[in-house]
Amino acid sequence: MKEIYEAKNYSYELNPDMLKLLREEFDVDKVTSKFTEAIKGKSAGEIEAEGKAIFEEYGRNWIRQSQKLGEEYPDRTYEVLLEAIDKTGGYLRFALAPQRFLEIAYLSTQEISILPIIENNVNRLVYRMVDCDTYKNLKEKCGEEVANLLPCRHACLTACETLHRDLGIDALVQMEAQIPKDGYCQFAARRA
Amino acid sequence: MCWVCEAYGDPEVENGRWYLNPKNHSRNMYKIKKPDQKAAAYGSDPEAQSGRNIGEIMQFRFTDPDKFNQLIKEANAMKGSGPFQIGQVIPIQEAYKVVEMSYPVASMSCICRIHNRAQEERNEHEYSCTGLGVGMLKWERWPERYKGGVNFMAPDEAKEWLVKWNKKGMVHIIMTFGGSYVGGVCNCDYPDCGMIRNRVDYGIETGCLKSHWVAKIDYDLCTGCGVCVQRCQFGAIKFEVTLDKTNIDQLKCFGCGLCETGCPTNAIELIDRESLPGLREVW
Amino acid sequence: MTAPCTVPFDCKKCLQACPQAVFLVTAVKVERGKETDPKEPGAYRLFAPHRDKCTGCNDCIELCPEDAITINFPPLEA
Repeated sequence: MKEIYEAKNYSYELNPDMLKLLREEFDVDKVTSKFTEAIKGKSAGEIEAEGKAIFEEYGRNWIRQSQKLGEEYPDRTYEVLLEAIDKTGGYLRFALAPQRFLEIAYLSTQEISILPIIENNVNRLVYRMVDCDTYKNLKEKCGEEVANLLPCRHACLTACETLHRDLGIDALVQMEAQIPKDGYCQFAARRA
Repeated sequence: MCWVCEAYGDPEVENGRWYLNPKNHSRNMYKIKKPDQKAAAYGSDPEAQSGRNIGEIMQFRFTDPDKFNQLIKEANAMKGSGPFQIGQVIPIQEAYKVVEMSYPVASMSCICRIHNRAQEERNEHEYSCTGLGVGMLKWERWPERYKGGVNFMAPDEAKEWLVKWNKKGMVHIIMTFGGSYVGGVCNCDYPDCGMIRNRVDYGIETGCLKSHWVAKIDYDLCTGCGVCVQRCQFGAIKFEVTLDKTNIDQLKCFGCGLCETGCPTNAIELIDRESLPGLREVW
Repeated sequence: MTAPCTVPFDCKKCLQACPQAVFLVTAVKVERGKETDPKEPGAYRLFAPHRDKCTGCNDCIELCPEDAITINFPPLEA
């Protein structure tokens, strides 16, 4: 019989210091300003190429740092998740292991209290960005027309792809909805 | 049609069954609390809230029985948006599908048995309830109510575990914790199970809806041995002396399939409730 | 119940003997990350939420070491 009458002061939520570090380094205001500078006087084709270059790089660094700090700042939820994965087999680390790092990445840089998870099961990980600060920033700085091209999608797509590759999970990443058309962006990773 | 499927099912996925729709198994792991936000006494725990709501209504049995009946009627009419959690009986075949898809799956102590029979379940050899999803990662927060911690199971292990309790005679109920979010497959037993008891004794339907199936007996194969009579928790089966066979009242049947899994001659099959015009609106 | 039972979770005789399962035991105060010590007096409380199902068999009264249970049925009307 285990006796646990002593209170355990575990934290099940993300470490605020970690979120602050990520927020400072990957401020969406900075990357959207950089993009706005870069596309001044450029043609439509060049805008897409600049967007791809800037946001892909941002997305890759953003998720890699989220993963790195996520490992450096564990919380009790993550510890128990690792115990679960250890017990049930590494194959089942999808979808919750990548989900944690995606939650860290989005919760640190966006003004949201939760990342809406549409599906997280052994086959698929699907999440949604509804009120996106990156999109709002682009709309303010570059106008609706440029924002609606969603150059920022490269950041989300690259982040999701990079994360699964770095974790050694064979997954197909797709964008299933886009803010201008659907009112939200939705990304899906399916076990390949 | 089943009103939960109507509200939360996807016709494209698993025949529209709400509890096999992956969306109802999905939830975030983390939440950013606003600095001024204080945690409530029970946190944002829908289960505890639901317990308090039920407790309030149940008090009226003693103080104002008419009001009690009225409140139950209203709660049933409100369906999922009422004060009660949604729960539905499922046969073991569908419970298999749930544990194959959802992650993590864990065995844990049953809250009903602790409360109603002081049955402590302190380790994986004693646990009798099945928890699902990210909530399992934070289960040890309330050791008082759950005896702290859970035992994670791989899908095959989880299926064996379901078989173990099915053999003993437990009804599987898929339980939600907040809206349509599926948090567990309970292994339930009248009278200690709150959900079955609330339905059978007090007419509270939402927490223990009948399954999508109903038992049908093949008189040619039935030997009248009576195993199924013992296994039925809903009073739907009796031995019929006149025919020297077992009789299943399909109007009372909850479609849990315990009679089917227990029948030594495979004389019972589960058929789709909605294929029978007299039962398709009986949930 | 005349005197409240102080050891329901330790004793649990009534909880397990009642054919109608009318009793319920619950911790008075639930604390995050901490289990209630069943030996702490008054940590758990006994209720009879399903007392409308009581048949008056008196098994619980006979088993209770604390004499904490009473059953009151209204007298037969003349």
